[in-house]
Amino acid sequence: MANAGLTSYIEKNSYFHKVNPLTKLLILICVIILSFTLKNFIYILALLVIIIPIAIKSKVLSMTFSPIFKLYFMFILLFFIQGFFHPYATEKLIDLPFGFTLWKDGLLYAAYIAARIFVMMVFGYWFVLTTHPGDLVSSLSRIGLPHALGYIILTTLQIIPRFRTQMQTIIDAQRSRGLETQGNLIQRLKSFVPLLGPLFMGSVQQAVEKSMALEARAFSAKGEKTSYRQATIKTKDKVIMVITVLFSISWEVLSWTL
Amino acid sequence: MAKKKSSFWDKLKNEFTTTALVLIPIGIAINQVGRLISTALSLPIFLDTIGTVFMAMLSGPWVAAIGGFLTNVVTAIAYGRPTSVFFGTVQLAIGLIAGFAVYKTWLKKGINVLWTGIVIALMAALVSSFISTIVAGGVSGSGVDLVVGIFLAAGQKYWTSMIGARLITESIDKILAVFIPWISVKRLPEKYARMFKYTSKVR
Repeated sequence: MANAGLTSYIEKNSYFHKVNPLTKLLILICVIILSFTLKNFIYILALLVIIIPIAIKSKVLSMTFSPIFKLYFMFILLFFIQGFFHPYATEKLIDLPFGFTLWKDGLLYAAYIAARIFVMMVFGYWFVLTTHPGDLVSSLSRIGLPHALGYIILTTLQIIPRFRTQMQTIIDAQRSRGLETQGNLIQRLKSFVPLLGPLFMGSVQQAVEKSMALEARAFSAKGEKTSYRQATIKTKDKVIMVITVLFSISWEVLSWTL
Repeated sequence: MAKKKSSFWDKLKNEFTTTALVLIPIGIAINQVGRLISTALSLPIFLDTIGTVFMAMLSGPWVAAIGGFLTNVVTAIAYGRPTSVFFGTVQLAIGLIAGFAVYKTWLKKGINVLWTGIVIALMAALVSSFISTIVAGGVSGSGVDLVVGIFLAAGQKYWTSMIGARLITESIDKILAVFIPWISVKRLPEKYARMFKYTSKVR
């Protein structure tokens, strides 16, 4: 199916859309490892310098940095929790009234974590913006991902939007039969079963029917599986992979020696 | 010894029948729509584990653990949120515990639904405090962070606040997350219940 289902993927004709998903996955994995092991947050934030030209080349620059709008509240809390209540804080920055103390190492730790999360999110978001999940799964199954697992991931992405509509239909139908969705707490808690019951029943029925349909098409048969979408590894992928690994190692070494 | 090991793997493979494999996407989808209902009823709970428990009741601990973990992998792929993969461990633990309770046929007695819910809540609170401390410095990006903040501001110790705040918000959530699938599986028509291995251990 050409439909990507529930993803943030944006169909565009850019250099990085055509790069093999495995290459982009390698970049993402390197960034995740780096963001957990680099010495301090300056080095982690510096990784953002790399994503900017890549995102421009992928034509998704503004979208790539959109996680910041979801994260800023979390970061405020992070700085609050770690700044005031860091469990192993030793170095005081400032004493505040009512017995609160702002800790310097707590703030540094919060900055480290915030940089880590932000960089991971930005790279992760860039990855899903430019990678069709079908391509990702088909190239992963080429290097040994069990095809059942690939089936699970792709199917889930397809059926979640459908389940949302189904759930909304059930909610509306039960409301029109007079189900209390407002009122006191006990009443609302009681409404859970009539709302979820039909969903569970329907989904069991679906599972049984689907498994029969799959078996009729030799789902669990042994042998070579083919896929509709295929991505090949080209020379440019190999070049990018080598550059990524070399850069990651040297950046890691640099952060710990300087 | 080698023979024993292979029989364990064979057992594990036998758990993942086609019906169980088809159930996993559906369980994940149920996890995802749980929030839709709690919004419709304007209740402050997540209900994002009902699908995992449901899988445990139909297809056992291993399917539920894998399905629970994949819930977060799918979230990561769909929304580009690599951090959510780490929190998949919480779902994995929930799947294992619920599945173990089902395996031991504890859920045949109604009162054990409550206890299973409490144990799951406790486990979830511990694991998610631990993970969010390691990965995200103690925040998890949901409403629970605010409760943690209140606990800390009230003068509680770091770990007491982390685990305590999560226990409060999760206990009702997790008891409901066991109760709702349980009552649904009890009422499942025999025709469908027969197709799943573990339903006979619940009903």
